[in-house]
Amino acid sequence: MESVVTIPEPVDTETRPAPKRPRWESPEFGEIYEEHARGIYYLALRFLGDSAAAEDATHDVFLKAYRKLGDFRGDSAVRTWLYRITINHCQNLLQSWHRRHLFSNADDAVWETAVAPTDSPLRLLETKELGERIQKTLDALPEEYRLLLLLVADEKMSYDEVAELTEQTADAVRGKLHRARKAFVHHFQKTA
Amino acid sequence: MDPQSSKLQHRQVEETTGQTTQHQHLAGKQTTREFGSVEEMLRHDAQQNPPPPRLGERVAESVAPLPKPARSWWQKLFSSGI
Repeated sequence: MESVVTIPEPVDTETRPAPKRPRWESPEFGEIYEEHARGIYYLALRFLGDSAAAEDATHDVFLKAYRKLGDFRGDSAVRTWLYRITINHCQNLLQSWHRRHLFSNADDAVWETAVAPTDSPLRLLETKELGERIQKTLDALPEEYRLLLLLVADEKMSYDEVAELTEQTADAVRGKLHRARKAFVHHFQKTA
Repeated sequence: MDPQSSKLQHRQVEETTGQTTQHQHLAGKQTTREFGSVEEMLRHDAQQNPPPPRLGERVAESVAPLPKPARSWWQKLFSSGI
């Protein structure tokens, strides 16, 4: 398979300050947050295409999850359950905000907030450029393809779990993924 | 999860190693990174875009006033693993 893109690898010359650790009333829920927040945030970021909206969405997802913990029967993995809440939440946001009009002219500041302020200018540029290209590419794909690619990129998700989340068989997921990858590469190359 | 992924990642490493000298024009210690698959690129992108550090604190503050989840649920959860 052809490689998709070549970019300079960032040089991490500075050490990021340790983030302030949240004080959880429920340590168990804190563990869930620590385990899954990164995946939830990234899915929301690339689904919504906006870092501030993704932050709000991730906050709301975990708030919903906390409120619905009593309803969670443990039939699926916690991650799958959280992803389902995230997908529903983001789809609702997209429908109600008419986001393509609101965010089609997102300014540079949006992307610059996606990385730590201590990052070097080179790293900032690389992250911004690659992130923009990925976002443009994902935006050009049908929603189903976008979702499948983002879900399978999570190494903690199995095909069966992705199939469960997207309400289809694992074989159907594999077939669509093949087409989704081709579509991604096609659109990505056009963003160069 | 994809049987093909490991092959692609392996090939990607070989390609990167083989092409390192071709990209020495890049300054300092920079090397050229190639992505062998879409998933690999997205994983890299995810690593570059962690949730803001303040978000955990914000969530913790939001759930603090809410009643704690029923204990029976937690027992069920942790007996099956997170």
